Amino acid sequence: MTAGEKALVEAALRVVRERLMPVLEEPLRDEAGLVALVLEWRLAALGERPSAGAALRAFFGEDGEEGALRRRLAAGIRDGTIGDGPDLRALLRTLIKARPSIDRTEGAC
Amino acid sequence: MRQLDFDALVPWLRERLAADVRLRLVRPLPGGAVNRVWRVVVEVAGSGRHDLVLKADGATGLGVGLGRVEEHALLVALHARGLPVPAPFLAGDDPGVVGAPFLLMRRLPGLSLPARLLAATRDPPRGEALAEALGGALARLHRTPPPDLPFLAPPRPTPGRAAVARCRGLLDAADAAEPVLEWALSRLAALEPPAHEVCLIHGDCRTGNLLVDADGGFVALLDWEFAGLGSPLEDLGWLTGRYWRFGRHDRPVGGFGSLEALLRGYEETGGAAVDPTALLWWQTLGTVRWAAIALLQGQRFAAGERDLDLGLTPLSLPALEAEAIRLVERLERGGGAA
Repeated sequence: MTAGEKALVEAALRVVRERLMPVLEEPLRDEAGLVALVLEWRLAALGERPSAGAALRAFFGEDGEEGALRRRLAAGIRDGTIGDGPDLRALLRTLIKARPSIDRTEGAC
Repeated sequence: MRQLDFDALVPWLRERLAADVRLRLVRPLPGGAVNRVWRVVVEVAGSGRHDLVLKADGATGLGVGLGRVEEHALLVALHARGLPVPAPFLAGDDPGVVGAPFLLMRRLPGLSLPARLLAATRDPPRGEALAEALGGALARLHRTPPPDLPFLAPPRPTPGRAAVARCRGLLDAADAAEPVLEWALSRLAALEPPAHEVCLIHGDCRTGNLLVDADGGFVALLDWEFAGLGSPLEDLGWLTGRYWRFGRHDRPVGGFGSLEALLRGYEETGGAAVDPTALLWWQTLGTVRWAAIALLQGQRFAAGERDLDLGLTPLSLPALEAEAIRLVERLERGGGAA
């Protein structure tokens, strides 16, 4: 894990712990807590470590409960219960890395 | 459903024109991200040959924008005012005629496919001339008093707020949980520039909806289904978005011209002076809007509309999200158009 990735995961952890978990209802809070533990372990482990994007992919996936967490984050940003800040922006950047992509910013129509 | 049924078109035309009509040519035309477009040539007794373009609703749509009959009514008004649009012919909302609501307009010769337009303007002076002419055309549009048509509603409470709300509506329509796009919209709402005067806008002015001649000279603006009342900067911001440059980032206007040429043509033709930071705000809004549309295009593919472009478009989301963050942070620093 590079220093940049480590910083991203740390920022993601802060958002999950300090800003997302307090507004989540059960069972999503348990799910988020588990993810926080996994992220923490990723940071602490000495062996092979996945990238920040891979670490978060399981958390902010597109389906199921993970998708519900992503949905809560989007709703919280829209209704203002999750405000702006450097840690949120770091998490958003990490989320971008976690979705499939091709370099296709142009020429779609 | 890529095919339209033209069997009922001739009887419909005979009734509308009160004349004998013969179909001479029917050929699908490329392009059209949302609708289907066909070249239709008919021979009408007493008035001769009519070379037309038929535009019909796609099998699935985005659920936003004008219907074909409304678009036809707008074309009638714009053509009467001398704006560079195809001459309208007829429109019908009865799906029994060709299988979907449609409009007919007179075909203008020229190029509109992005690859061909960019080839015709590869020579930089041609691209600059096109950007300047397009700026002039947009200024004329924005200065034209909006026609009195019931579907042209003023944006409330401001053009910027209304545009943010429309983007949120697109995300809701896609049933999409998009934290990055939500964040960008919340920042845009907080950073909204002073409201500009409200005017008639094209709403989808970009490479792909421009018609040029073989030398890259400006001919007309096509596809008015997203037209409405809004900020003039919405057209300029959408046109200069990174996603319509087709990789030619040294030519920010649609991949063919410079911002300076566009704004020179715009301001010399009577368009209001453009504030660079306000233009950046609308470029950012356009990025989020295109990302939301990309989600909906992917859903159309998933719903069975087997167009490769529709299936691939959602894969551009990470790049669009990264661009949205970059533009918001540039906006926060007080930067100008990117």
